[in-house]
Amino acid sequence: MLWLGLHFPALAQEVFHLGESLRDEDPAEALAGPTGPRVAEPRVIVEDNRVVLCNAAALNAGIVQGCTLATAHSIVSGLRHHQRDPEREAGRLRQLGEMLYRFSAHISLASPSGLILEAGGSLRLFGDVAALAQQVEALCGSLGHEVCCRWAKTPLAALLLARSRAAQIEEVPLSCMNLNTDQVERFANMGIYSLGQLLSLPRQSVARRFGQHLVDELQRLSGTLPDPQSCLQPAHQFHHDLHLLEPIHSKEALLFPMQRLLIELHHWLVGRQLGAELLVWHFAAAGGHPERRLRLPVSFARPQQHQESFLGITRLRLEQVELPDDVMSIGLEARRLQPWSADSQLLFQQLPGEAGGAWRARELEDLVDELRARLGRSACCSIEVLDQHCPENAWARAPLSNRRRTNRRRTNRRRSASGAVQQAPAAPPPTRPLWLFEPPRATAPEKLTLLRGPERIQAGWWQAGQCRDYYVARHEDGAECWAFVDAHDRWYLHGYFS
Amino acid sequence: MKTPETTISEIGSSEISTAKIKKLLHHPDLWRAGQLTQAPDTLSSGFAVLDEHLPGCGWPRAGLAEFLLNTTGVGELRLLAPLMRELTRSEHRWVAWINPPFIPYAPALEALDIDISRILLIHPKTHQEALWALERASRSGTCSMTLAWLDEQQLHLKDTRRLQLAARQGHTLTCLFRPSEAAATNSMAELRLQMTPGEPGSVALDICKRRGGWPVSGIRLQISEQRRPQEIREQLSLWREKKREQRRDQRRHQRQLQAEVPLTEVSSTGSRVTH
Repeated sequence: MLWLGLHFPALAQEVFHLGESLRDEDPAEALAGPTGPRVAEPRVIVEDNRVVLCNAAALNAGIVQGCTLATAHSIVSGLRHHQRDPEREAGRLRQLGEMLYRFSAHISLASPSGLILEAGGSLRLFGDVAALAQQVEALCGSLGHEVCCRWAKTPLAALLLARSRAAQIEEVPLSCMNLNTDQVERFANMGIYSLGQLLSLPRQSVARRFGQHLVDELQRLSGTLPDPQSCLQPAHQFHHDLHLLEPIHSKEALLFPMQRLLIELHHWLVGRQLGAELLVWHFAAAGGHPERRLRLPVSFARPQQHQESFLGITRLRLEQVELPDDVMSIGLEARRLQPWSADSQLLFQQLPGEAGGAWRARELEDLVDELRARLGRSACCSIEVLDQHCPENAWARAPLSNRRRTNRRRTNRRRSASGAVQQAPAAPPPTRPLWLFEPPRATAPEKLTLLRGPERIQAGWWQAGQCRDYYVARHEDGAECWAFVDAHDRWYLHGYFS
Repeated sequence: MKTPETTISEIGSSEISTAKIKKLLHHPDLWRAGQLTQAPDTLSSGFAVLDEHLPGCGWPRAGLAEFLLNTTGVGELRLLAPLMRELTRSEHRWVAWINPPFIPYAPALEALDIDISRILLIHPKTHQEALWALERASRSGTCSMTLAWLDEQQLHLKDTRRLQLAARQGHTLTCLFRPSEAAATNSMAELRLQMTPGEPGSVALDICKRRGGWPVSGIRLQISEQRRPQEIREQLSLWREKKREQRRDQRRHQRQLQAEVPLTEVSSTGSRVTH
């Protein structure tokens, strides 16, 4: 067993700045290393009226951890502070755990700001533990989190190493352990500051003075006592929200936080081996008034997983809607999740329509998605043949989404037709025009020169009985057309032969 | 250095057979003024008469072609039907119809052996959307053929250039259907055909523009099976007879109306006598 301990030192602060960390830096830089949100203005996190976390700018200005909020404000006039939000941190930690699911099946939460991954099972896939740790760090960096990643033989040791950033377990200061301040102070009075010193003490005397609990913890640390970890069960739904500190007015600016959410969705989907067919975006304005909320569904013809494919269609949809003019929070929900089947790429570049015709269906559907997103859902359709005698009912618009069903209907039709052929010779196909008018256009018979006909079509007596005599005729403008005369001796054009 | 010498000596030996010259003439690098250029990738149009005049003996597989016609229905679809059949059967790509003026009738297309499940109808609301959809469909490489009916007033020369580049990139044949007046305006299309209705079942074609060749006019194409004049005459006589009957009925009806109400019985008996 090998354990990977992750510690997010600035999680309390990062949960407030998720929406903007991508706006200032480009993603490539964020991927390069765990830089975290680099914001120029000084910001602090406050708990019980005391500063518990401050960013680099606040540190430079001279604010120290532990000072009161009033002191901090007197040092920096334009200081922004946030009350610490443990609930939000816990929620974010859980989300991070789910997004790291691709690296290990065994992830446990170590509150308040740590994660433990079982790495032994993933070593064959990722090569060695250093490569795995590097990938984990890169992923967390791209999600906007500073992380420290260490590995050890026991989960507790890995977590303590990550928390203290020490190289050896002996160097870990006692303040990083799960001890109360009173105990730490008592050890300090005894001249014991590091874990190495504590481990060298006889266990029995430690147990007598500090209780069996501490000795158990030390045994779990060294691996002599089992330390079962509770596994994180990934949620069945994806619903992430992003709350912005300042309202966003333009759609272009909105794309950055949306991209951040899509990256999170991508990692979540990869971890669960799923693809999403429907995304639902929620945009809410400052007041949170229900009327100023916008729900924007974006659907796809086939399950998608990559953020690029999500973003392209989402952008097209976004252009068409009216957003609330000051968006303060963005939500992303993934619906209609399907098992993901990755398909292989071509080894060589193949020209579209080359011999073999092995054109992949996914790209055909991508085009439909894009056209629908821009032109509207009803703008694209296909056509199909129906078994109807009446000419205008013999065809129908076929939806493109459930192509499989229409294909089946078509093959059924074929089969029955071929069965009929075996029994009796089929009649020659009747002449039908390539262009059909809907509805038929009234015309004067003088404009037509009849060429062929009539063909009587009588159908639908149970509705409004239609009796028509169809002729192939030549219109005076030169087109060959399909005309009919109804029971009341009225002439109509029903199509062009073209 | 050796190869030219040997060829010269071969020529000098005056033992060149006509077969050799023919072979030389078919070399792709050789072009004669009276000959069409060899287009790299074409598909037969299905009409031998037309293939003779098209560069590369067929429709280009990628590029922009324009069809100039006064009225819809002169035979533009039947002209393209063999190509569409070939493309829908051999490739799994879409045949996109952008802003068609009427409904492409599925039973008729299927009767021509076109795989209609490959047909993608797109109905944009504005000209800009139509242009975007056409360019997107052509460029994507997922359409083997795109047919478009655009707003002539808003179509500019630079649009045709964009469409042509998109079609080449996506390996798509983009067909634009424009009114005949558009022949006077410039276009970047590599092939422009003017279509006028001819005899029933045929169409008269003028090639206004083609790669590596002069314009040709007066090509007559038979686009549907020839009907025997006798058959037509028969049908027409049937029709006339029917019409005569109808007129007779009408006259009788009018006479009935003209007759006074109390005299209805008399007139009805009278009519029975006459017939």
